[in-house]
Amino acid sequence: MLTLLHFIILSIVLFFIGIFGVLTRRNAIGILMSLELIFNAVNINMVAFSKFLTPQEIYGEIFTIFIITVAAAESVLGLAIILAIYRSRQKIYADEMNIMKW
Amino acid sequence: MDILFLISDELILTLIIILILLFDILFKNKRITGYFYILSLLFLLFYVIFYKRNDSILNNAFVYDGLSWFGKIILISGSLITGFLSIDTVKVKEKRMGVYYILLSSSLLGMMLLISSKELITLYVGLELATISLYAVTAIYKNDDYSLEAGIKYLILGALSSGILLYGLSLIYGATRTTYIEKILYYTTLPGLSSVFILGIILTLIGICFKLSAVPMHVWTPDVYQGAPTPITAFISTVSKTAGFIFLIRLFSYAFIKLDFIFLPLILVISAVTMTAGNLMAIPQKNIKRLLAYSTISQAGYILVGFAGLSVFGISSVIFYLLVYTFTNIAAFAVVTGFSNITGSDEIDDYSGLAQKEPLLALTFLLSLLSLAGIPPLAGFVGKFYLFYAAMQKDFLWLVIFAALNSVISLYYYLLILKRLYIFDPKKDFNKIKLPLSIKIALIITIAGIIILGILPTKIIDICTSVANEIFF
Repeated sequence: MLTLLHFIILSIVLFFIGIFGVLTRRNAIGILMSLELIFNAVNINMVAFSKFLTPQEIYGEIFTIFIITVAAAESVLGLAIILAIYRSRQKIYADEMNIMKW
Repeated sequence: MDILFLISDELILTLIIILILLFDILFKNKRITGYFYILSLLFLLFYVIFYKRNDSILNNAFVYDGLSWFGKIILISGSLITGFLSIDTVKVKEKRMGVYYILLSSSLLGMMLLISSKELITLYVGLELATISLYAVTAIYKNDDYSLEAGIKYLILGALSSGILLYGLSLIYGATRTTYIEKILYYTTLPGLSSVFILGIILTLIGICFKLSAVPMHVWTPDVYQGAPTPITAFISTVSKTAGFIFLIRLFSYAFIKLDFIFLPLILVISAVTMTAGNLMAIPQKNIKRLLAYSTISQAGYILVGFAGLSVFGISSVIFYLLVYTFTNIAAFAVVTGFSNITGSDEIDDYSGLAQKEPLLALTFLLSLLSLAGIPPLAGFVGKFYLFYAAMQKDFLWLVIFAALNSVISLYYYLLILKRLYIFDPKKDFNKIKLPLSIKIALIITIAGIIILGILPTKIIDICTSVANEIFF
C-alpha cells in the first residue's frame, strides 16, 4: 500500500537529483532538464499532499497546473537564449560562459 | 466594492500592454511606443495615488490594502523613471523596441499582482510573470555576448531559486493544508508546530533571497547587472527588489509573524552577512555597474535590518526605505546610463573629471552615493536612521552597530568614486554628444526625490506608519 511517506521520499530524491544536476552538468540544456526535475519534485509533493491530506479540495492540483505552465515558459525562454548563445559561440557549455566573473 | 474597480490598476496596465503592441505594429517611428509607455505610466501613477481602495476579493486571495497601494506607487514610479532612461539609450533594433516596453510593463504587471495577493498560487504566478519577463529583457541585446550570458545566468539561477521556493511552499501547503495566507496565520496560532512547516519556512526564505539578492542567492547580481542594458539594471535593482521585499513582508511579517523566534535569527544573520559581503566585494571592482551591484547587495542587507523591528515599526521603516532606495539607486544608474551613452564606457577610471564636463551628472552621482552611504541631510540618512530605530525598538544593538560599521566601509568606496569625479583631471576625451533631454528629466526627478525625502520626510513616514497599521488593523 502506498502511503504519503512514499511519495514524499520520491519527491525528496527527485529534488536532490535535480539540484545535483544543476550544479554539475556542463551542458546548458542538461541544466534546464535538471531544473525540470526540481519542478516535478514539487509537483509530486503538491499532488500527494492534496490527495492524502485534503481529498475534498484541489488546491494542490491547481498549483501543479500553474507550475507546469510556468516551467514550460521558463524552458522555452531558456532554450531561446541558449540558441542565441550557440549562434554566437558555437558552444553551450556552462563552464565556458565566463566572460564576466568576480 | 465593485470587483472591476478593485482590480482596475491591473486592467489598465493590461490595456497599456495591448496598446503598445498595436502601436508597435501601426507606426513606423518606434519612439512613439516609448513616449506612449511614459505617458500611460504617468497616468497610471496618478490614478493609483488618487484612488486608494480598501477591499479584498476571492476569499482574500487578492487584496487592495495600504501596503499594496504604497508598493504600487513605488513600483510604478520606478518603472516610469526606467522609461525615461530607456527612450534615448537602448540600442536594440527598431523592430524590437516594442517588445522591450511590452516586457517591461508585463514585468510591472506581475509585480503588482505579486504585492497585492494573499494566496500562495497567486503570489507564485505574479512572481514568475515578473521574473520571466525580466529574463527575456535582460538578454534583449541578441548579438552581445555579455547580454546573452547575463540572461542565461539570470534564468538558470532564477529557476533554481524558484524551484527551492516552490518546494518550501509545497511543504507549507502540506503542513497547513491551505494556500490562503489568512488561514496560514490561523494555523500558526494553533498549538504544536510540525517540523515540515519549519523546513518549508526556511526553504521559502532562501528562495525569496534570490529576489532580494541577499547572501545565499546573491551570486547572480554582479553578472546580470553588468550584462543587462543599463536601464534594465536600474529596473532590476530597484523595482524588482521592492517587489521582493513586499513579498517578504506579506509572508514573514504577516503570515508567519507568530513564529518570529524561528525565522528572525535567520533573517538577522542573512542581513549581517549580506551587507558585509556586499561591501567587501565592492571595494576592488573596476566596472561601475559591478560596483553598484555589490553596493545594492549591501543595501539589501540594511533593509533586512528593519525586519528586526517586526510588526508596525519594522514594516513602516522597510517600506519607507524602499521608497528612498528606489529614488537613490535609480539616480546612480541614471548617471551610469547617461555616461555610457556619451562615452560608451562603464569603467570607473573613465569617470575622472566628470564634474568639469557634465556637472549635472556629477552632482547627481554625488547626491545619490552620499545618500546611499547615509549622509544627512539626504534621503538615505533618514531612511537608515528609521531602519536602525526600528531594530533598536527590539533591542538589537549588535546588529545596528554592525550596520553602522558597514556604512563606514561603504563610504570608503563611494568616496573613491567621488574623488575621481571632482578632483582628478579628465583622462579620456569626451565626445561632444549632448546628454539627451529624457535623461536630464530623470536626473532632475531623482535629485528632487533624494532632497525632498531627506528634508521633509515626516509626511511620508506618517503615511508609511498608517499603511503598516492597516495590515494588522
